[in-house]
Amino acid sequence: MRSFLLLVLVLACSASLACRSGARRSEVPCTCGTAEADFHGCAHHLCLAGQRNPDNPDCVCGTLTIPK
Amino acid sequence: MLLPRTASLALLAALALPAAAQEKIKLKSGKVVTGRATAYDDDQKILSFRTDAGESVQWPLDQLDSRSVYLVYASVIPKENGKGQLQLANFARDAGLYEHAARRYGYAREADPSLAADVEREGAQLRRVAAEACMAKAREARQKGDEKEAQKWLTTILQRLPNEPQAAEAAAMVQEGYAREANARDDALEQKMAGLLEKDLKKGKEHYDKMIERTRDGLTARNDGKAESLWKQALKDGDVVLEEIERLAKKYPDDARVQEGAPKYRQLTIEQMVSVHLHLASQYTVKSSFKAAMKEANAALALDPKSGEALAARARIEQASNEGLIDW
Repeated sequence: MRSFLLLVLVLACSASLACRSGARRSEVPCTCGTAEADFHGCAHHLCLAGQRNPDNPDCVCGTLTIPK
Repeated sequence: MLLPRTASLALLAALALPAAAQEKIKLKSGKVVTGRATAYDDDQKILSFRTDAGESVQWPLDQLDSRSVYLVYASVIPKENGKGQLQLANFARDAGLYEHAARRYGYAREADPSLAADVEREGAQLRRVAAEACMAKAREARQKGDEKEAQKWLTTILQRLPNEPQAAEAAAMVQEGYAREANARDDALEQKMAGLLEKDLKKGKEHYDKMIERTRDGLTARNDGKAESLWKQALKDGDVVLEEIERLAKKYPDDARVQEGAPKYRQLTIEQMVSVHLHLASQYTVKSSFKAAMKEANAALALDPKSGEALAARARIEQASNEGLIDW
């Protein structure tokens, strides 16, 4: 039981840290699909990490998962 | 004791699993389909896709929006395939994805140094078409009477593509239109504050106008050192304007016109100072002086913590600092 409580505590702490970090990074919106992003690139955190923003169909920063 | 431990491990495993990834594909018609790709036939150029509704569909690439085609190619051409990356870069360039094209040319050069001459030739074509596209956007905006938008695209040419033939025309258009557009922003306020401008606001107004002129002259300067010096002076002008606004707000605490006008002037001044800091940040980034660039982006954010442009600039500088600048 003690280990379960410890686990919950660790998860709660990491979730709170992740939220704080996410809040800062999510301040930059995804601009993929706009003319500006075509020239300057998109500064959304997923795009900068080379990943596709799943919420934006115009986002091309990253790849599709295509089984071989 | 075993049960809670098992439960906790199960919980941990569940949290570690990524959410079922949904992909969005855009068709030429503009329709967006959600689901996941199941296969790609490179010979037939056909993408197989299973939609959210459980339907299996197949699309030849020519039925997809060009961005989605780029996405498919990007998914199947590895970074290590120099020739593939070069072709992908050309595709991105022709689809108007200029920044992606520049990135892919970099991958091609890195993967296969023998492609350097091809990359150089195609990269020159990228700069040419990007400058043409920028100028077209500036002209289109000007035709619609949106001078602010026009100035944005002209500035992009001057800062990102200064060696293209369009840069001279862009400089002339900035020289002619920048101050006019910037001054138009405070026209209404000027009319309201006519009396004050004659006396108490005179010094602030002079420095405000100087700040605009120096920003413009920095943009059109053909020398980085001169541009930097002009922008730094413009920021000093901005500081004087802010001090003057504060002084007047304190001097006339009961004058509703002053108390109403001060925040508006402050906002206009701050917007201009933010853009000057971002011009400096952009120049330092191009010169790979990332520490100085970051300092400018942070200064812009200190003035306006919610500035989307400043937040994006800071994120891009961080990226360039970690992974190197994308060379146009």
